[in-house]
Amino acid sequence: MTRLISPTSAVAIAVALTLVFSAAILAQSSPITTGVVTSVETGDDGGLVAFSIVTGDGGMERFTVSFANPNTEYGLENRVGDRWVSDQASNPQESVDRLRDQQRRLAQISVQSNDSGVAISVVQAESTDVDTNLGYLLAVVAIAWIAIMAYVLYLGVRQRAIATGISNLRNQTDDNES
Amino acid sequence: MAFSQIRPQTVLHVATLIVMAFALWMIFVWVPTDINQGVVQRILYIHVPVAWVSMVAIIGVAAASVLYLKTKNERWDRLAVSMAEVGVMFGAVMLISGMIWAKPVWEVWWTGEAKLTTALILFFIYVAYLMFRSYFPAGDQRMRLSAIIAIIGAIDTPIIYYASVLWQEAHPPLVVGPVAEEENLVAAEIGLTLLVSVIAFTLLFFSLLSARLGLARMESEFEVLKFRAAASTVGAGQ
Repeated sequence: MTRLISPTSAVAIAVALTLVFSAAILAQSSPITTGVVTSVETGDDGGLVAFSIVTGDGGMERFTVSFANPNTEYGLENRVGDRWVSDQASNPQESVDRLRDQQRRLAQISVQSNDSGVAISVVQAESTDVDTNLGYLLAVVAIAWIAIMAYVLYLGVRQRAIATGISNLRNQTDDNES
Repeated sequence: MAFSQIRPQTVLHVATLIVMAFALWMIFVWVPTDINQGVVQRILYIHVPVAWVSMVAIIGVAAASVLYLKTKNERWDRLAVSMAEVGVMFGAVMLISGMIWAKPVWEVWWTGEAKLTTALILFFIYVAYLMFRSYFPAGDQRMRLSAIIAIIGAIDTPIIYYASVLWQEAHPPLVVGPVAEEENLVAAEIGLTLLVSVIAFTLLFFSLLSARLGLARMESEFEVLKFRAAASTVGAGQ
C-alpha cells in the first residue's frame, strides 16, 4: 500500500510552513514603541493633546491622541497594579492623569501608533523590548520543531533497527527448526 | 489507491498536518500582536498547548497503568510507555518554551514559584518512569512497578493546574478552564487561536503516539522472537 504521508514528511511540511509564516510576522507593519513618558501636552480645556516618551536607546517619540478614527485606547496600571481600561473619547481628562502618573513613576509604557504618529493603543509595557523580542518567539518555535523532528527521526531509526532484528531472528528460528 | 485502503493512522497524520498548518497561520498571521508584550506573547500558542498535552499524557499514562493493573493485559502497558515517551518530549518543550518566554517578560529564565516547580516535577516524573523501565529487566514486575510510579506521578497534574490559583505569584492566572476568573478571560481572537492550537497539538500528540505504539508492538514481537530463538537454539543443541 502506498503511504499518503509519513510522520517525517508531515513534520517537515509543518516546519516549512512555520518558516513562511515567520516571514509574514516579520513583514507586519504596526510599530510599537516602548519607553518612559517625558511630557504630557494638554489643550486649553485641559484635555490631552499629545505626549512624548523616551525610548531605551535615548530616542524621543511624540504621539498625538485622537477621539475618533482611531479613538486612542488605554490600558494603564496604577502603583498597586489596578488596570484602567478606557479610551480617549470616554475619558479625556482621566488619560491626562494616568499618563502623568506614569511619568512620575518612570513606568514604561508601550504605544502602538499609525503612520501619522497618532497613538492607537497606550498600555503598560510588560516586556522590556516589545519591538525587538521576535528572536525569543523564533527560538521557541525552532526548539519545538527540532524536538518533534528529532523524536520522529529517532522513532524511524528504532523502527528500522527492530525490523532488521525481527527479520534476523525469524531467519534464525527457521534455520534452527529446519 | 482505493479509499478503503487508507489506514486510520494516515488519516490522523493528514488531519494533524491540515489543522497544524491552519493553527500556524492563525498564530503567525491572523491573531493581532499583543501590545503589552509584543510578538513574544505568541509563545502562548505553543507553550499552553504543549503544557496541556503533557498533562493529558501523564493522565493517560496513569489511566493505562490502572487498566494494566486491573486486566494484566500487556497492551495497556505498551500504551502507558508510549504516552510517557511522547509526553516527556512535550514536557521538555513546555519547560524550554516557558523559560524563553520568561526572559523578556520577567527578566529571568526561571523562578522557584509553585507553577514552574510543579511543572518541573512533572518532567522529572516522566524521566524517572522511563529510566526505571529502561534499567529494570523486562517482565511482569517491571510493568507492575512502573504502573504504580505512573499512578503516583499523576497526582502532580491537578497541582500544576491549580498552582496559579493556590499560590498567586508571577505566573499569569488561568485564562481558560473551569476555575479561570471572568476578568482574566482572554479576548475572542486570542481564545480562538489558542483553541485551534490546542487541537493541533493534541492531534500531533495522537499522531506521534500512534507511531510510537506501532514501534511498541514491534518491540514486543522482537522480545517474543528473541525468547523463541533462544529456546530453539537450546533445543537444536540438545
